[in-house]
Amino acid sequence: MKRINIIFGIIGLVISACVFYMLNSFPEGQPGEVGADFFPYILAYGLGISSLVLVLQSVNRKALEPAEPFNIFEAGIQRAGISLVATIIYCLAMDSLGFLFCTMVYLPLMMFLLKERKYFKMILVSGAITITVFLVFSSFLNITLPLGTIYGY
Amino acid sequence: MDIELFIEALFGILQWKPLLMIFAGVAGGILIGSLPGLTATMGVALLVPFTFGLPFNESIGMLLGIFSGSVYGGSISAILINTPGTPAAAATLLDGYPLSQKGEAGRALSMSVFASFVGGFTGALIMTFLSPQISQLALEFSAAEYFGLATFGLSIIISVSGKSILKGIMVGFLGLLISTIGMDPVSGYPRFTFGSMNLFEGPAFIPTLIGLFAFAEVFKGVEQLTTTKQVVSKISSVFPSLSDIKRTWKDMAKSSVMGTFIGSIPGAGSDIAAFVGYSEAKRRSKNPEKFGTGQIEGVAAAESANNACSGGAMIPMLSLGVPGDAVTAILLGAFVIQGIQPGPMLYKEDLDVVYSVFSAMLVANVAMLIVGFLGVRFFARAITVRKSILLPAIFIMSIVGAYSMRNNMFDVWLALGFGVLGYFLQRYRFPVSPILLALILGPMAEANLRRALIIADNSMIDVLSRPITAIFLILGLVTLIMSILRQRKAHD
Amino acid sequence: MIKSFRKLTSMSLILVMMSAAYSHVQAADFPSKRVTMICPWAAGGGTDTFLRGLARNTEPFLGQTITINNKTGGSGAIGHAAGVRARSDGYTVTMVTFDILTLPPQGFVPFTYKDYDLLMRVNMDPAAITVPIDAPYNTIEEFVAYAKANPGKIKVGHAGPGTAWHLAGSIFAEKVGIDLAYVPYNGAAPAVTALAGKHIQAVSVSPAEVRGQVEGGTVKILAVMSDERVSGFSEVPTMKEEGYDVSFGTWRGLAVPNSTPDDAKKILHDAFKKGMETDAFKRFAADSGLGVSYMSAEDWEKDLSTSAVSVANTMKNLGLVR
Repeated sequence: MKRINIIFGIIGLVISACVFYMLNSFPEGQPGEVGADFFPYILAYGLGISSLVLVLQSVNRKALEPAEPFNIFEAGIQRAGISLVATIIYCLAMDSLGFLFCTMVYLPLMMFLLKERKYFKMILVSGAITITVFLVFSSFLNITLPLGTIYGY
Repeated sequence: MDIELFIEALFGILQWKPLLMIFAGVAGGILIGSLPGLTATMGVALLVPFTFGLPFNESIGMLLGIFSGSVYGGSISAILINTPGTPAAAATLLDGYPLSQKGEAGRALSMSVFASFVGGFTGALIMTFLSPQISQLALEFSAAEYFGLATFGLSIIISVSGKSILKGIMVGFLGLLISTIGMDPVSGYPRFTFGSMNLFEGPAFIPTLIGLFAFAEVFKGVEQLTTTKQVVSKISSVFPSLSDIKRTWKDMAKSSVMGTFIGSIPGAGSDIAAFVGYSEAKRRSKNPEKFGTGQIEGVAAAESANNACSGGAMIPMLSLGVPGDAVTAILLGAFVIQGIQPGPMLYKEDLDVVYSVFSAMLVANVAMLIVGFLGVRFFARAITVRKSILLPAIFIMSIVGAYSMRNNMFDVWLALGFGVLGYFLQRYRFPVSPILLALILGPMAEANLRRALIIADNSMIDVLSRPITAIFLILGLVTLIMSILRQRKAHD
Repeated sequence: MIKSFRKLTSMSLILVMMSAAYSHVQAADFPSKRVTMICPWAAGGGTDTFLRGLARNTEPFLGQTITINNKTGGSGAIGHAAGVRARSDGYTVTMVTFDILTLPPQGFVPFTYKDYDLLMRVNMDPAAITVPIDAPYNTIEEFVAYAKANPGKIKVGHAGPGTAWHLAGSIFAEKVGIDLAYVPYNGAAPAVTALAGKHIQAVSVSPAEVRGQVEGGTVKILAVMSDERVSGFSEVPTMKEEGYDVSFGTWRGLAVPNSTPDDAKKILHDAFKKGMETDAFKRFAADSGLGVSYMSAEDWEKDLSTSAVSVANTMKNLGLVR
């Protein structure tokens, strides 16, 4: 946990430094007036100071409970990574290929990734979810999900 | 209060048609509320056009049914999948989700229904009997007072920080910084938007919420697929046990009253009320350190506070023509279209209409209790679905929820980004709730301070020395110091 | 593993083909499929209410259903941008709002109203100066005199930086030569609430938005910024009657992307005009407090070319141009 805390503290410091840098380009307010840069300025100080304290505290303290290791080769982490990538691809494809098609492909693949092997059930459940979501949103709630530009929508 | 007229109005609502509409509204509202991304505001807004052709009693019954149902509905997904269905349920998950992880989803859900009813019904009662008196309070709140209220609310960050106050504060500042993204509320200058028009109004709240909670949770679920056991959920009864009610009734009573008052202040909504109620229950508790690990009091306090808000928000809308929150703003429009102009004149000229609204609100809360109890078994079964089926389904619901808020794919990317952030924060024991509080209260604090300064000709002293503002600021400071001291003690 | 994967792929393939078959519509006679309307503002707001009412009453004349797509965010920028980028086949109509004039000067969007083909303007709501009922001025003339004697002391609430109501207060002050302070609220309703609580001295929003408070006797309207008196507020004088040449308000209109076929535009225009003229819609708009006001595409275009310049100038004075 010690190393993790230091890393997070440093990230916090970097963020607050970036904010300070960006505040330079903010428009000058009237003197004595609380302008657009006032709050971000105070908050960047707050984040910077609390991050610094976290770093110093962690450096000085010896006994910290060990953090969960983040091992990129571990099966669980890889699975989570794949699910993220799959979701990104799903979202990228949705505009052109449409919600119905993408969801019908995405859902069974995700279930497969999560070690479901009853194929008939997978397809059935995926179809049910896809159609229910689509119907509820488009007809009942009047919210248009992407229909897919390649079909001429 | 003209009792005879009130009873007449109540019987007008207790006809089969208005009752049917109320129950339909409540059921629909619970569904809408339980889906992350669909809020009470959206549900009411989308159904207003359908109610144009209906008689007044039926349309108001349906709308108030949706209103009441959706505020409760948000707690279902909060308890079951750690994702608030509506922002109002964000405080409910703090203890609701740990409870369901312990296999007590049924207990949490039935308490949530019951607390929602207690809160909602109390709010409706206060609205019925004290509207004219309370509505004056709403007008007392100027920008300076809102600044005070928001600052007080921010002091709650400490009490939702879990074990590490420092990490909570750090995440809180990060959240506040995120909340400054977008157009400056006074000068209109686009801050930290990197030229993207999708960020002009800041990161949209609901997608952020879905990311921090829902996506973070499913990523964790996917990672730990093989290491964690399937949650079992045992339900002995759909009603809360007597011992649970005994444990929580004081918290519920307090939360209900506080929630109604917060709701009656225009612009302060159920999300704030829920956190205030939660933090008060924690403060009052003999073992505050157990909060966040599945204390039934946490669920009860949060849920009664946010539902009480609905009645509270109706007060200024009806008696002043000033909406208390986004939902009542839309209701106001619906009233006007029906040819009814809420405001002081309504109380003088159309008292029967006012009483019909009161009655519908009271009945809607009873309907919510009935539908809610009937649904407990059904909802609780949702988490016993195999993870290989459940997690992909949550993925889809989260994506669609984030998208549908503004029909914008950018919001889905935003949600995914916050999902990754939330995943790592949780993994390394950083509390996530402070970000949420910061996003709700940060803009409120900033915009109102600056508004107040314009009104007071840039005199900070004038702003801070207004009595209500000063009280809130002192209250905030006291809360801050007390919770830091208490946390210290708990860890020594 | 391989075998099961193959089984899965083949099953998905069947589904793929099934979904692909999902209604592939050919464009023959316009409109041959449903028409989508983009609303740049959220469900439940004024623009959305107007649009939904209009769409409902236009469907019979168009012979197709109309779907409303609330593409919100970015102070209307997102919806307006989606409208410009839409296919120019006439199946996507955007409800363009006043903000199309204020977004470009602020540098928020890379397009202007010229990137649209205008169909017609459908609504106009003038701004008005409203003050608390017990304010020390009863006419706009007394208000101006008070403002001249107390520069910067009158705090005018509006709906947010760069909104029509922000400009309204400023255009009025410019014209009559007074110094007002502007307090931005998050929409018109909170500004009116603050006025009812007497925390600010005036608001510059539309008469419809203060109607409840006027009837409740907490506020009074001094003058409206329109050429003629507003129906429902016939006792309130116009600025011109009182000797100030100020006419300003917000409006909404319908537009399609550039290079949409002319016959499609004509069909759309005629259908919406008929929808606008139905009694049902007129009653609906009056009940919602929204002013129905038709303006043809040519007149509207002319109107926009002059107001775009004056709006940009006012915004410059307010420090909103960058």
